Amino acid sequence: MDPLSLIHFILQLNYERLWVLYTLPMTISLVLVLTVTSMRRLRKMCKVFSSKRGRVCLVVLITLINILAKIATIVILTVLLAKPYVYYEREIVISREMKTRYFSEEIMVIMLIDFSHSMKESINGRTKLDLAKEVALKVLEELTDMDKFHIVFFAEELIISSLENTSREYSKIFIKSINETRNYTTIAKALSYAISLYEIIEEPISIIIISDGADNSNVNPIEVAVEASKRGIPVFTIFVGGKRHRNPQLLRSIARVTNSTFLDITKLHEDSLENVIRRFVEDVKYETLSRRIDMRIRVPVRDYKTPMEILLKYLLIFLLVMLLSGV
Amino acid sequence: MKRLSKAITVVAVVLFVILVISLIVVLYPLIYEIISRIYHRVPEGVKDEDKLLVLAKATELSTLALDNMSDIAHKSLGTMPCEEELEIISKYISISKYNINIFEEYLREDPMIPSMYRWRMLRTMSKYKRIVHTSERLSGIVLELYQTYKELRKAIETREYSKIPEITNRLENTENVLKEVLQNLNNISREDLLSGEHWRRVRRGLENTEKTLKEVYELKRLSQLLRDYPQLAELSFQIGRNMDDLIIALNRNDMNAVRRLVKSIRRCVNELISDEDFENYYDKVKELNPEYTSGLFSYVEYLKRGTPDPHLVNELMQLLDLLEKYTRGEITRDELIRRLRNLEEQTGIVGELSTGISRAYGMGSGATKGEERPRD
Repeated sequence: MDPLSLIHFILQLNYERLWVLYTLPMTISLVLVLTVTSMRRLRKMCKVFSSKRGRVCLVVLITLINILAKIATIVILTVLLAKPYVYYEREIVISREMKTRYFSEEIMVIMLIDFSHSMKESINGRTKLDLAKEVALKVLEELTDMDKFHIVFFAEELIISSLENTSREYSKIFIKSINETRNYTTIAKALSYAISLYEIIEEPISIIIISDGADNSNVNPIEVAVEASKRGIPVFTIFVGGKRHRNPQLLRSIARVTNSTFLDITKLHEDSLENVIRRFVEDVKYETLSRRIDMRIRVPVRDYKTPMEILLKYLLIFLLVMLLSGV
Repeated sequence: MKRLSKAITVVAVVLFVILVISLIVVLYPLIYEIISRIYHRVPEGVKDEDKLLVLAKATELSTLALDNMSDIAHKSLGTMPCEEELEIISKYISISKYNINIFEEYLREDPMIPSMYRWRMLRTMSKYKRIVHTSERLSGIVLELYQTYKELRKAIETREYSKIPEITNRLENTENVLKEVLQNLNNISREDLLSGEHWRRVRRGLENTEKTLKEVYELKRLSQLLRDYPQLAELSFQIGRNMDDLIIALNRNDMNAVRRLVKSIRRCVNELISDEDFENYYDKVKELNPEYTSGLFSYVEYLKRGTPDPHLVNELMQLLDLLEKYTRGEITRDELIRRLRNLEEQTGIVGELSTGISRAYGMGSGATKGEERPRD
């Protein structure tokens, strides 16, 4: 960067402490006065020159260089004190960690809960259906009031919540109301129904399957999951365990083909359940939104480092010139 | 000429004085902060403030700061901390610190205070001071915690294992700070505090810090594992992922993919078990708890699934042989399922893989039209 570009650069900067710059004219005038007083010393030094013209030229030249270096040094020091920064807007992609940036966006969560007879199996004194319902309620709690919910209990038939009322409170009541189990686990059927809603619902859709994975339908759920993936719908799966009837691998595969998360809650301790579900819900929101909306945003950036580096480099140069010209 | 130079000198001196004054004006905030830090100056007017109000500010804000800061620290493993919230809590911390000092001064200097009350309150104030100090320690590690977690996640995603040693060091430091915080909080009892609500906040702070420590400890172990055995971890991850893909390929009857994946798994397993550190590595992987690794849950699950038990490697190879024979058409699907059923009894990935494959065939494509479906 040449000196002219440096002046241009300084003029383009923004300052956090702008008022510091107001002291600049005063300090420059002080420098000028101090230089004039010290010129006498220089005049004495120049007496070695026999020609008067040569003396005058040398004094003027050295004084000019010195004054310019001093002014430049003072300007840079004052500018540095004013805390300069470069302001620009940078495009960033919202990452999973930036929860505040995406969590308030609205999504539609379609929760498919298995209520086949296999869910009546008891683990640690409670049925798998109860556990599934508890997990579903916890997931609902972690989502926001902005989000919409559609609950589907699936076995041979589907029992669905009203699409007119998608509130959290209604969904909670609906989940609590189902206590009986039915024949057959038909994950594919439930999944197909959920995908069919894609055309009607405006919000980004997310599907969560809560089951033991012991599917016994004629249709391959993985093929249906692939269809969901083609439409950009993530299918998250939660495995609730089981002794005789269990297939975590199926749920794992469904999550894998849709590039979503699989959660095995049988491997969790009581104290970590809440935390893991919170992370799971963050995943649900992030994955759902990142497939449907533009996750790039422009953020204002204040760069303090660049001006400081450039100015310090020039400060050193001017200091050196000032000392060598020595007025 | 002499007069002129005198006049110039006078002007120069005046301008110099102005320069000094303006420099003081410029640097005033900095000078003020240094002086106030040295002397803890008590501003005018606060001295007359109601002592109860000072006490309330000191105790309420210190416990609130701890409660909120511990929660933010816990959430910072995977979530960017909110700057405004951090700013508010740091204000809580400084206000409570200031008020604790004022109240202590009052307790020491007022001759009218009964000595029993004085010593009891001074002891209580020292506990609140400890709470403030703890909140300060936590606020000091929040951003570090967030950054470290983010970098660990990124290093895993991009396979930049060279960054892992530094991340491990940082996690170890954070773990030490959290242990110190926990020790501080454990030394506070209900009797030391002035109200039940304060005690509940301290308990919540303690619980949150325990959870954070647990997660940091687990992340540290993961990070240490990746630092010590980066290649083995990569192989495990590949095996875990390929196993999932293998089951999907079998389910979709994509024999080319099955062949490719079996080959890849076999190569990775051979490489893994031929490493002299494999048994140590296996023990370390076995100890990992995915549930406490925050958003790295899935990654650790893959690591665990993809690390075969050294005693079951033969069974795993047997399973891969079976699949290879099946892809070459040497055995039928029924024969494959029958032989897989025998392996289902095994533990670890062999059992899981066998169950997964046999169920993959048992479901969907397994039950043909018109066939009686098993009721569940």
